[in-house]
Amino acid sequence: MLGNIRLYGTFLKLSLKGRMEYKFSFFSSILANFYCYFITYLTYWVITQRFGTISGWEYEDLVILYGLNLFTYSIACALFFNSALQLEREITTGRLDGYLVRPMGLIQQLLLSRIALPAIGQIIVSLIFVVTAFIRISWKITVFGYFYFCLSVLTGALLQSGAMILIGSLSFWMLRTRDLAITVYYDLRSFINYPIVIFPLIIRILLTYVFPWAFINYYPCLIILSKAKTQEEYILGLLSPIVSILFFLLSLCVFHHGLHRYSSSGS
Amino acid sequence: MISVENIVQIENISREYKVAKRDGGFAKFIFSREHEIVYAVRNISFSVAKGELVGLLGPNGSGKSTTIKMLSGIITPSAGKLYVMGNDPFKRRKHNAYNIGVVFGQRSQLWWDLPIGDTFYLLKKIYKISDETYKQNLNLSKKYLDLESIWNQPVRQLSLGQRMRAEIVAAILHNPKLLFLDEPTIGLDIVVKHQIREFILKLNNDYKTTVILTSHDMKDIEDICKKIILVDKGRVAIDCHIDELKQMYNKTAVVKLSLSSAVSNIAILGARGMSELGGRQWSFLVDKSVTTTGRVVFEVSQIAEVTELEIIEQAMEDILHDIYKNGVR
Repeated sequence: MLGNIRLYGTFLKLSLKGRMEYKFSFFSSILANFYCYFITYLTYWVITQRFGTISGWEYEDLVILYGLNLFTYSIACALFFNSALQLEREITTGRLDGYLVRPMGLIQQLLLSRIALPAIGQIIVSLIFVVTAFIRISWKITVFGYFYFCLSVLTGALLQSGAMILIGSLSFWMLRTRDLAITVYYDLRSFINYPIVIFPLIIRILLTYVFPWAFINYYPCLIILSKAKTQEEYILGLLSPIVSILFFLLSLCVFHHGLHRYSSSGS
Repeated sequence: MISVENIVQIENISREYKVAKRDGGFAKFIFSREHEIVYAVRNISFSVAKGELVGLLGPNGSGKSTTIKMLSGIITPSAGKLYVMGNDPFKRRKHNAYNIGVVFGQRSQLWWDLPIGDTFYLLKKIYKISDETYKQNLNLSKKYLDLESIWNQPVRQLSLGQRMRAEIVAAILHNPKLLFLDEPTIGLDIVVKHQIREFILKLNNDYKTTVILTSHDMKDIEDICKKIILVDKGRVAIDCHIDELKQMYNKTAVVKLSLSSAVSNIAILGARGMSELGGRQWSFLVDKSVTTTGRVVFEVSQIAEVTELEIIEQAMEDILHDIYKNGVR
């Protein structure tokens, strides 16, 4: 374990050093990330200024909801590997073979080898908005709410990583999965930028039982912001860390299954 | 039986691929679920003893790379058994990784944006190489492969030859018992090729490293390998010492002689002669099934004084060309 952390440190240091070969690109991409998500957060402010609340969700609620999605995504990307889009390339170019001759787990190496540092930009902007939102509505957040937020950041990051690994793993069968990843993960996930109660039932079912992206932020927020009313909402809210962990484990299973099937593109 | 002396033992392994049938038009290809099975490797067996220098030969697509991938634990055979130092490389992939070093000539293992030293340092951490071993291997590599001059440049700025030298170092830092080199000299100039050959022989001499090499450069094979395993169409066609192979397939040789005086006509059974410089220089194409090169030289020296002599054996390249084209006799 300690050895792994040290190894992670070495990878991180070298990643940073590698990125510093292109200093301008590095800093401008952090800035671009910052700017892009800054605008998104501002949109919530504009919408709530113009229309009041979105079915009972106020500006601060929406910031926390969106922040939880972005936070967990950034963590999954920054510390780990954006395998939803990259595993395909590793397989089709045969680079995976290079990882497989090393005395390390493949998932570990994939995670370590593509540390996406520019996500620092969105982490910083999320911190600014989410912390401010929490301060402004601190009167209605319970201690358990804060705890549940922290827990949900961790488990949500697992769910996001799981989604990336799962979709990436399909490359073992289908070789090209980029379009699928964009549709199922990126596009469909954009629904959870808003409280999903505003969408038709079919979308809610899809995001809960088929592609469980709503467990990333919506259901945890029901508990954090004390918005759960029905028994179902309580249960789904409290189940979300478990759902996330199970989903992550499922993705690892699929990954290993796919790896076994891997037939290695020609040489 | 797992033999302890054999570092590699392969028993009747096959590897098949399912390939979607691509005949029968567009619509059929889109909707069809028909597959046919293609064998990359079919029922091959061979073994390699510790410290051997093996050339794995065969035309493109004959199953060489597939075999190396199976031995490195990247893919698993669809039938048969294989052992590397007594272990199943696929089932015990991580354990196997400590024992082997792999260089894929056409793929890089180096960190693209960083100088080579950084990749080496990372490998030191991954393989948990002791400071002493690391230093020793780096010094050896620096001495043989001239790394000092490229030490500080990021890999993306290196030439192919410079990068390949670094790739080989990256594969041997952890003192692997078994080294796979899949076309390590592809596209390199003769100086670098020579450096790499010398380095491989040095490793074999100092550490008793077993080497399995694939190459289309026959000079590589002749300079490095003692044993030849030739696979063709997924089967082992030949498995023998390199000299045996030469003897088996070496049907002809050319004998060139310079004579002190001109001779207009020489007839020797089993050797077709051609004269140059008005009969002062002769070359004979010797059919070895009828006579020997020694016999030809002897017979000519009975007729005139021989001043210069050159015997050109059939090159490995010609031998292999013959086998690839006409099959094994």
